[in-house]
Amino acid sequence: MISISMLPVWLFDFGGALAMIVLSGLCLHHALALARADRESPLAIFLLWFCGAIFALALSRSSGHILKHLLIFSGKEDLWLVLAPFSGSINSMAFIVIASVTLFFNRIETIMERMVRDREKIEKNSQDLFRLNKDIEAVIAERTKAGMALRIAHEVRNPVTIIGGMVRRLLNVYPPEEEVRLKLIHILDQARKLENLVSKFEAVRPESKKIFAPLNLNPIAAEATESLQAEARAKEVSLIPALSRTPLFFHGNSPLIKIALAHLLRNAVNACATGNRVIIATEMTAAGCQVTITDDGPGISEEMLEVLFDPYRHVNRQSSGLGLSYVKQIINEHLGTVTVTSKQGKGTTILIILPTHLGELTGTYAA
Amino acid sequence: MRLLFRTILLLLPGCFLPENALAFQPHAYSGLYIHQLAHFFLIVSLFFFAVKARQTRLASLKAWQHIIAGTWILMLWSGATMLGHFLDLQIENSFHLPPGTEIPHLYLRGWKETLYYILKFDHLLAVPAMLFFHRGLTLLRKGDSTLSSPGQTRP
Repeated sequence: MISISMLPVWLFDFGGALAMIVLSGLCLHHALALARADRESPLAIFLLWFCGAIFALALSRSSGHILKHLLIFSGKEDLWLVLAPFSGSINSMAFIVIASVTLFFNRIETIMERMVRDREKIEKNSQDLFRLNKDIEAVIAERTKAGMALRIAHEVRNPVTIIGGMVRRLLNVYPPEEEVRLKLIHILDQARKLENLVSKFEAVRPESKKIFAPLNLNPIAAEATESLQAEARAKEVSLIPALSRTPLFFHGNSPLIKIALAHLLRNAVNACATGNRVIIATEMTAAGCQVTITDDGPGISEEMLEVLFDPYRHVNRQSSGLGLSYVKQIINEHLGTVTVTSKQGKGTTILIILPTHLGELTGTYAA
Repeated sequence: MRLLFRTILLLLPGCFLPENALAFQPHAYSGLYIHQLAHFFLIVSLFFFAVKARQTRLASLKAWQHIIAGTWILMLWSGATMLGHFLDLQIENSFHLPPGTEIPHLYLRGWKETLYYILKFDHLLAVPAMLFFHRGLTLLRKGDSTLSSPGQTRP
C-alpha cells in the first residue's frame, strides 16, 4: 500500500498561510486607501468591510495553521488540541461576517443605481435651470432693448416730424433761386435721416423673440408632466397626460413654456388630496394650441380667482407668490392667454391658448 | 407590565419541574457542523455576489472583473475545504507515523485518501483568489477603473 508523507502538505500550507496573511493585508490596505479617498462611496465602504473580513479570516486561519505546525514540530501537540476549537470558531465567525457583508452587496448596488439616477436627474434639472436662466436673461435683455428703442424713437420722432414739417412749409415759401432754400434742403435731408433712424428703432420690436423658435407643444407638455410624476406619486395623486396625437406647432421658447406648465401642474398636485386626479390635455383649436389642466381637487374661491395671477397673492407661506404671475407673463410673452375656471369642491380647470404664429413663421423662416 | 406578569406566571410552573426544563441540550459535533454551515453560507453569498456583480455596470470595469474572478475562486476554495473537512472524518485511520520519523504519513487506500491529499493543497485556490482581489484593488486605486461615486462609474 502506498504511503505518502504529509511534509509537502505542511510546507505548502505554511507558505500558503504566510502568503494569505500578506496578500489579505495588502488588500485591506488598498481598501482602506480607497475608502479614505471617497468616504461617501457605498462601494468603497463595501470593499473595506469585505477586505477587512477576508483579512480577519486569513489572519485567524493562517495563524492557526502556522501555530499548529510549530506546536506539532516542537512536540506540543496537546496544546494545539486545546487551541484548535478556538481557531475553528474564529474561522467560522469570519466566514459568516464575509458572507453577511457580501450579501449586503445587493442592497449597495441598488442604492448606487438609485444614487446614479438621482444624480443624473439633478444634473439634468441643473442644466435645464441654467438654460432657463439664460433664456429669461435674453427675454429681459430684449425687452429692455426694445423698450429703450421705442422710448428713444418716441422722444425723437416728435421733434423730427415738427422740424421736417416746418422745413417743408418754408421750402414752399421761398422761391427756388433763394440761397436759403439750399440750406433748408440740407436740413430736410438730415431730418429725413433722423426719421429713417426712428423707423429703424421701431423695427427693433418685431425683431425681438430671437430666443423663440418653432416648437411642438406635446413633448414639452410630456416633459413637464414627467418632471412632476414623482411629486404626484408621493401625494398619491394621479397625474394623467392626455396629449394630442398630432404635433402642435407654435412659435415659442421651450424651457419657458415647460416651466410655466410644470408650475401649473405642481400647483394642481399640491392643491389636490390623496386619490384626486390631475389631467393635462393638449389639442389644436381654431384659436391655436390649447393646453388644459383639469383637477378634481378642492377648487379655488371666487375671491382668490380674481387675484390669482396678481403678484404676491400666494396661498402658502413657502411660495414667493410670484409663480402664477410669472406663468402669466410667460404666456403673455408668447402672445397667448391663460384663464382659470373653478368650482369649490369640484375642481379647477386652467386653459392656455398659444397662437401658432404661422404668419410670423412664414415671414421669418421662409427666407 | 401586565405582559411581564403573565410571562412570569407562565414560566413559574417550570421552576417546580427542573428535570424537564431542557434548558441545555448537548450538541455532538456541533462545532464541525457550524463550521461546515459557515462554509456553505459563504459559498451561497459569494455566488449571489458574483452573479449580481456580473449583471451590473461594474462587470465592464477591469478592476471589478478581477474582483469577481477572485470571488469565483474563493467560492471553489470554500467548497474544496468543505469537502476536505468531510473527508477528514472518513480517513482518520489512514494516518500513521513511520518509525524514525516525526512527520505523519497517509496511506493512499482509495480515492478518499487521494482526494483528501490533493485538497490539502487548498492554498492553490486561496492564494490566487487573494491575488485576483489584490490586482483588482490595485487597479481601482490606480484609477484604471474609477471606483464608485454615483455617476462616475457609469460608462
